[in-house]
Amino acid sequence: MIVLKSSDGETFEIEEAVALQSQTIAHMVEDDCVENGIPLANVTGEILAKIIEYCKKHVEGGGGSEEELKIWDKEFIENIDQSTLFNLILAANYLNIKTLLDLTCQRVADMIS
Amino acid sequence: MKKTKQIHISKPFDLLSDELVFIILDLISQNPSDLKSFSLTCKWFYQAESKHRRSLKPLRAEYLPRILSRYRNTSDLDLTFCPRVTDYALSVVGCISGPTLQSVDLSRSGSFSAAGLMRLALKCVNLVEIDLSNATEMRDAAAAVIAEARSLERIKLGRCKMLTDMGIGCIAVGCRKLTMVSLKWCVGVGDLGVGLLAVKCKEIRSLDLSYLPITGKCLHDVLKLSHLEELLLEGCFGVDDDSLKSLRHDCKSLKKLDASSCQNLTQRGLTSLLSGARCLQRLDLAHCSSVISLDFASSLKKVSASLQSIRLDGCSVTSDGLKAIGNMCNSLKEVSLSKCVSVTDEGLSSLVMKLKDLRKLDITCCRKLSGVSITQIASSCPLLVSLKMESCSLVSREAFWLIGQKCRLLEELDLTDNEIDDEGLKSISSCHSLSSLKLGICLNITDKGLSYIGMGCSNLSELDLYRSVGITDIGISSIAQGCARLETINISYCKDITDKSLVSLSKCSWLQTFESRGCPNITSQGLAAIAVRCKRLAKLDLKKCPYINDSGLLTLAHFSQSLKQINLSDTAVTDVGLVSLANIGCIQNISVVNSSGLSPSGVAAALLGCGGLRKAKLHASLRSLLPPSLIHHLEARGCAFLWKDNTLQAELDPKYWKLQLEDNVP
Repeated sequence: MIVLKSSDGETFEIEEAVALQSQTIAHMVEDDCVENGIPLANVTGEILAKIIEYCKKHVEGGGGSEEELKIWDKEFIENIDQSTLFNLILAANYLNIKTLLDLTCQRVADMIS
Repeated sequence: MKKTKQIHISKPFDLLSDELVFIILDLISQNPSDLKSFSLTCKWFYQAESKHRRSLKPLRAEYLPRILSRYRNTSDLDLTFCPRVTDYALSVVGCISGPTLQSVDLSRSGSFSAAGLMRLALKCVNLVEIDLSNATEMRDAAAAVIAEARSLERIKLGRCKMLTDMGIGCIAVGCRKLTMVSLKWCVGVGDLGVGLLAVKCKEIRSLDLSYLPITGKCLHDVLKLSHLEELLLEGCFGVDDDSLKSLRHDCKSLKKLDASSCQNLTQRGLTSLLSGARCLQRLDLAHCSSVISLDFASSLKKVSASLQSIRLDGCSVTSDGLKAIGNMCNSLKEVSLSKCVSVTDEGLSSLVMKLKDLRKLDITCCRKLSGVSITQIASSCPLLVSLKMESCSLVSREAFWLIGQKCRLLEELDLTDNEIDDEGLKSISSCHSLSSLKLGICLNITDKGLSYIGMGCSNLSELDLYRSVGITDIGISSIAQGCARLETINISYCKDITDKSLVSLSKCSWLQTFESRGCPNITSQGLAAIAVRCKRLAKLDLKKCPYINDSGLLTLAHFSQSLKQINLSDTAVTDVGLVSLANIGCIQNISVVNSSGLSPSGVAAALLGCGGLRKAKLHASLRSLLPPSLIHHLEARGCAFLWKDNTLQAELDPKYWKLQLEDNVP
């Protein structure tokens, strides 16, 4: 289990497999600096909660078929407001979660089109 | 309990760094008009887009200084829309975009000389790719200048007739990093020049020597290149058996060899060429002068294990030869026997029986083939992706039922001039990946058949119904309903088509090419419907549609900003409609012969207004009515004229005269 601490002090405990979807966290785990939990100064609690929700759904092997995942992604991304969307982009970039970054940027691109 | 703070951002984009904005812009780039409206939203977006864009395709060379100043990160510059690119323009390109420019395309431009190229070569230190094809006036001095671009890796010099061995030698010595060289039709270059290239530029991977007066001598050096993957020798009449006699090479990297139309190359020479190419994957022997018999097939022994694609268009093949090829080359994935009129059922069946992995088969105009062959193809090759069988008219209707049943992976199907009927189309509609379907001159199909296609083939992007006169509006609307991704449609001479079809086709927002020659029932209303909703319309053929008039053209001029090519011969268009086309910035090709509503001054105004015009097809009588100074000016601006005189000869429509001929023969 890995503990993540957001910028406003909230802590989240999640399974390693879920956390490893973030390349940044994966590198930290490799370098062995996760004893006291990982402080994420750039990410607030609300956004971190959303990210964890996404990662839990996209854990390898679970979550359902490709079609189901696509439908879930669509609902996930359409139900958030603009400010959350942009904060998600920044957080996904910081945490280096490629699939989430692609999803959020595509959403912005579609909104502009 | 903590109260969650609502984060309210007034300017969300301020948070994002440049890289993140670029990722978003990459995703919008699919649609150029979206990108344009993005950049016009505010100054910040304008600057972001200016930093993001890397490849440019300007419509007019006059705008180059401004465009290049705005887009400072230009790495690809495509000047094919600009017929006149002067030395000044090239020096501007060099000065402003020098360090970032990597690729330039000047294949459709003229009016530059060695001086301009010198500025380009010296200032663009990172220039990796240049296309100078069609520079028919370019001489060795210019080639020596190009050699100054030391980082050059890919160079195209097709049709540069004035270049000689000296020029190529300069390039070989100066540009050591060359990997791709095309000298197609550079008829002044011979063995010496090519030999120098082979000796000096060791990194060459792709070499196009088509139509050069070379002999087999230079090939001794060429085949020593250790990275050579692609060698094209189309039409090299000097490459013959004698000059290849002592050729011993070990070119393991060679993957593609094109020796088509080499009239003096026979089996002996081919054996020498193929002797060391053990990893050859693609072989092109179209229009070979020898007969492809059992003997000939034996020369393919060395490459039989690795060969994946073979092209024998226009060759005379025997059944024994085909059988031998089938036996030896089991891993063949692509076979082309287009216009091999001597192919029989026996030969083809023995070939395809052995080729379980066959993906593409071209048997266009193999007239002797009947249903037997098709049955064999369908049973033996379930992985078939492309089948072209134009004019195999002996194939019965029943044979087509089998194709759809067995070859479910088909993406491309050419059934022009065949006996297929609605049942056959029903079977084909089960090929859900079908993207290109050609049903020209298929007189037995009706709307029912098309409705099956509309329901089953949702990925269809190209549909050809040329002269398939059984089709009416009902069939077209079922296609438009089911195939949202339709890009190309040809309904020429389908006399029963009316505006209803055009209105239903306007649903296909990706439509780019629309050809409806000789449809007497379509009017400007239908045209307007398409113009308004199909924003990507690029090519339009409305010849012999007598009810197309100015009102349709005015709508087109307003909405179709991507239109490049239009044919309005024999329509009711007048000066007003023609001049309105000048509103479309990228129009390049206008054809308007025999339209009685036009006057010389109207045509002159239209021609002058269309700044990017490259080809104008007009009635021969206008040649004497238009002022010669106007014609000179337009030609200097880059427009080529084609003067048609229909009174002298009826226009030969190649497929139609064949139909007429068949009608006359009892």
